[in-house]
Amino acid sequence: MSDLVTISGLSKAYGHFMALNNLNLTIPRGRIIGLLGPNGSGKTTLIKLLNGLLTPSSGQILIDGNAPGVETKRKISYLPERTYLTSSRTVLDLVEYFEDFYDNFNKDKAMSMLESLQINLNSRLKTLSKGTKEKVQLVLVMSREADLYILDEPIAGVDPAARDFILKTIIGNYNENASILLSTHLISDIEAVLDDVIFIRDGQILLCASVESIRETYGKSVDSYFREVFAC
Amino acid sequence: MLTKLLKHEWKETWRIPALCCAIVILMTLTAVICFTRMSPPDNKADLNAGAFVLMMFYVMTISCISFVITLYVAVRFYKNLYTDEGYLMHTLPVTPRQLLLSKLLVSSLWLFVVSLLVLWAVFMILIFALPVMVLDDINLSFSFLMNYGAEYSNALFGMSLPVFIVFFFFYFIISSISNALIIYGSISLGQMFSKHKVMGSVLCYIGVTILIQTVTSLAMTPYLTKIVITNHSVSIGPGVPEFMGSFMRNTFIFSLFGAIVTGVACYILSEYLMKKQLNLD
Repeated sequence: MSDLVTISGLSKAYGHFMALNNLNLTIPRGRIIGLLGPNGSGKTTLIKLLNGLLTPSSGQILIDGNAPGVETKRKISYLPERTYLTSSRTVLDLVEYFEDFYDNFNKDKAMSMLESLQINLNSRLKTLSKGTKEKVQLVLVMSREADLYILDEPIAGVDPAARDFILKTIIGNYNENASILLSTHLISDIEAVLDDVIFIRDGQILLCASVESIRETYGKSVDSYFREVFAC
Repeated sequence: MLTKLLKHEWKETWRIPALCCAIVILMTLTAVICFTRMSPPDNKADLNAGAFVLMMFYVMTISCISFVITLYVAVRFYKNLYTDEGYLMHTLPVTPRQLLLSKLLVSSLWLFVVSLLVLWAVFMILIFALPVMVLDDINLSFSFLMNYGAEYSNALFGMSLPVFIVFFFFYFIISSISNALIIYGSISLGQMFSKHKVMGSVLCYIGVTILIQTVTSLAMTPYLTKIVITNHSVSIGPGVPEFMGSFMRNTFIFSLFGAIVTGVACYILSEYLMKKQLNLD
């Protein structure tokens, strides 16, 4: 099966600062991949570039053979690290919004998840707690039958119970032809669900390997190995 | 997709402009009732201070509402496309052109409606406020203004009243679209600043507006000067010199042409920056 994402020679500069520097990477189908690195390593920049929210300084990104654009936005389901939905809208409005724009959005799945979470469909987003807002966003994002799910810090800032729900939702709602690229600092919480990890530092890929191979090669968990590699 | 974008854009934005329009209508009607209950001063040298203060308050409020709508168009565009909400808008499977058009059509409509309302408010002032502010023999009724316009339209504006009305109807539409595009172009250009993007956008707006005024004035000056110096200052109406019609007509045409050129340039700029230079913080 061909790679889902091919990145070659990708660089992104902010003035004189190189956030990504000549980065090369491929993402296969059917994998859950952790994008791991310290603050300022370039994780969010890479994610934004994949979503067409930033313009690269140089290099190329191909998602299923297409450069970021209308076609790739149909295939990518993206959860940013911030609340990006209009806060004055009700949850039901937002479900209908996603249904209108994404032909791969499964409304029944979203409604069922919202019901199981006992989220009032008529509540406005601004009236919900931070954790509930994150759950609503995740439900909407994971209710799409996308080829690539990109989740930027999906478990940051929520309580452990919410983390469990989020991880369960992630695992239970993607198909085996799709991949999930998941960026986080909380490695120990997500390690169990990851197939592969990408270590990124100073805008360059440090390591791209399966979780299994890291455990076999270094005799450590990904979390321990990460702490060793990125020790200050 | 454009239809869907339009539907949601309308749904999210209609409340504030509609409220502003309702305030203009209500204020105008209230002001009209107040003016009709007032009497003009006893002699021609006096001024009805109450009517004057009410009119000034009314004009200031209308100007503020007009400004609020323009500001709302700018804030909506910036907030929806270049802040957190931009993460959703720019990841929808739509083109930058569709995003821009959906915002443009809805905001232009509101700017156009407000322009018409302001015009209507000016008419109301002329008809109801002026007669009670000073003592005059002229009866400023709607029919009087229309008859006056029909008689002196050619002398004042260089075109007949029906042509003038049709011209200004289209002029208002085009200037509403152009004004929205100048705002969009300035905000998009402001995003090129690495810091203080809002300040950058405001500076770009001021810069673009000054540039347009300067270029339009420079382009008009030789032609309009020629009109003035080659015509005799013969009065053909009450205080209307002969060259006035030609002068005003050409000023309107230059302004219309300027609005079209500016609108097209700002549209191309906005679309290009959104398509090729998007960098969300």
